[in-house]
Amino acid sequence: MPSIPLNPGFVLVLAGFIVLAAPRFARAPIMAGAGLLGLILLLEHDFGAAAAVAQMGLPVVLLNLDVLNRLFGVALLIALMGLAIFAHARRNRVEDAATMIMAGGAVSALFVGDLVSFVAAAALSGLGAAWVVFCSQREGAERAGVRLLVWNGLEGLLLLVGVAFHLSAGADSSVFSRMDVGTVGGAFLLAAFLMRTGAPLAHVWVKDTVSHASPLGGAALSAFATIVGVYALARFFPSEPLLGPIGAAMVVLGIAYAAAADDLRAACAYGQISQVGVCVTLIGLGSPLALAAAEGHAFTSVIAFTALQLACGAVLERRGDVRISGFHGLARAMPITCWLLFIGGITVAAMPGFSLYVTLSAGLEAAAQWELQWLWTLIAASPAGLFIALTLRPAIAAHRRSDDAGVINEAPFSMLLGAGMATFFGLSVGLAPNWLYGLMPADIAFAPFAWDRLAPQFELLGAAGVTYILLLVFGALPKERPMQLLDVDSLYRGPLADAGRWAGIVILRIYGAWQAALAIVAERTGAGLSAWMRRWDWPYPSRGWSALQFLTVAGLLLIMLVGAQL
Amino acid sequence: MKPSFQPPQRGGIAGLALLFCAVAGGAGLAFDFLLNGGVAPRMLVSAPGGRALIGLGVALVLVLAAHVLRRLLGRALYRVEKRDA
Repeated sequence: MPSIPLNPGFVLVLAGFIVLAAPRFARAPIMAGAGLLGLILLLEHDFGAAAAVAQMGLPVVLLNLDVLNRLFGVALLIALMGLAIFAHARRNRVEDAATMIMAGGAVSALFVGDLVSFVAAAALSGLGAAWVVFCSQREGAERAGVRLLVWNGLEGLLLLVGVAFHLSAGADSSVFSRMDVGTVGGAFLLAAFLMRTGAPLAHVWVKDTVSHASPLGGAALSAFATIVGVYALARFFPSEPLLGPIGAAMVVLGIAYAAAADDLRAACAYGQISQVGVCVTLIGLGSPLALAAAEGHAFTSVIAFTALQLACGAVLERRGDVRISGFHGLARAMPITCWLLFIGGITVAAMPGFSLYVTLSAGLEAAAQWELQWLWTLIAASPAGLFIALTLRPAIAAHRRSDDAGVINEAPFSMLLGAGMATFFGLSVGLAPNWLYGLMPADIAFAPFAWDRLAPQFELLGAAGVTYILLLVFGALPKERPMQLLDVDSLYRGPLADAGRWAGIVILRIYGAWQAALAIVAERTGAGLSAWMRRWDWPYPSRGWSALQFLTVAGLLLIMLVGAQL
Repeated sequence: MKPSFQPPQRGGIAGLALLFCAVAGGAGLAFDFLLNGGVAPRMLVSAPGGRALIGLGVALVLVLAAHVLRRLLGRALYRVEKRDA
């Protein structure tokens, strides 16, 4: 088959516009077909740059395929096919189009070969993400969409400034190359990419948007939103020492919040932040094995968390929310969905036989090559945290008895099929990881199912599970109740927003008082001047004034005459 | 009339999960000692039984963190939604 030099992301964007006009029965096939076509374009094309043009002195490389972006692209396109099947269950053409635009932007960003095109594609993906949130019918979704737009605006600004500084600092061209964080342009670009990955302080947009999106939107955001940032870090900042501690902070923060959050979709978003943190840390280590493990882990994280979010979306569709405190009786009412949730949970917990295990064990091997025990321990501990937060907690809550959950009310078939397909991919990668290893940038000969790797992982998860359940039995766990955890966004949604409102009110009042004072002064001055003018304009002025005027005019004439004679 | 004592509702799969975790953890620990018992570990935390300690520590720290986070940052839902900017 002849290869066509077309960026696979453009196919998705085009499909997004077609979906807007397509009837309901055709929308899901078009979405899935676009994903499949993108996959074919990707796998059939040889590595290297193609479709390059020059614009205003800068090269514009619309397709540059290599082993790094191929891996990320395959993950996104597989996730898109699961999302497309899931989307068939409901009727929302605008959200379908928004999802395709977001996916198209993200995939385009992976495959372009110059910075300007990358910024444009990333911005398109960000706009698509905001559109996805706006399409949600959930309470507060519009505000969450506006907040996401603000985050996207900030990120786009940082990207543009970074590219401008990079080019003005004497870079040969805008074609991709490794960046130096010591330069101004590099620092701006790193900040933008970290914002996209959900680094600490900028992580709130991930859980904010995912928890406010629709069932499909949450999974789509989970698949496409942060992955472009991981790709960009691997592309531009491999072996950057700063990334180690930043990634470690993401792991700690993500797991701690995932264990405490009541909203399971927000907990999953936090869990994803923790695994993206593992990727960021491994990119910071920078050895060939660490980079390969980071990219592979990004691949498996996308598929695993998409599957988990799709299962959460099925619960949301039927129950209206996905709060663990409200899970009582869920296992009886939605048994298949509960199984999907459970399998998704053990997938993200890196249970041997599931996808995250095969890449996390490679990451552990890479981290062990460095004298950084704390980092190795952190990466090794992260599955135990996710096992408790995203597997045991929801599973135990879902199996609690409830009086009103006797009737089976399972999610629509398409939703179960989409979630099941994504879960199947997670399982297939976990059981046969060699094809994933074959896609990785470095040739790695790694045996994840060696006994000396399997046994410690079972030991870790088993010990964590036993401890957690014993704490449950002894009543030491926090009580599940409907609540929301405050995060950094509470600052700008709460006190800072209040302060802004108050500042706005005070400024408006000062402005109003200034306007009123100006109006009074102007009115009084005008009245005085007009009164004075009117006094000169009277046809029959009063006697005293006319005598004074007569004397004044006569005096002036006399002075003029005397002056003329002299 | 004195109300009859109602036992608290226990989790349906807590026992099964405990069994699963105990078997997995026990088997893992046994194999870990069997395979790596005589080998000098590259790191202290990767010594045989090290992962079990990590798992135990993670569970304890996580439950403690959940208590602290919920106490300090947890808000009833209606209060948070009102403050949404």
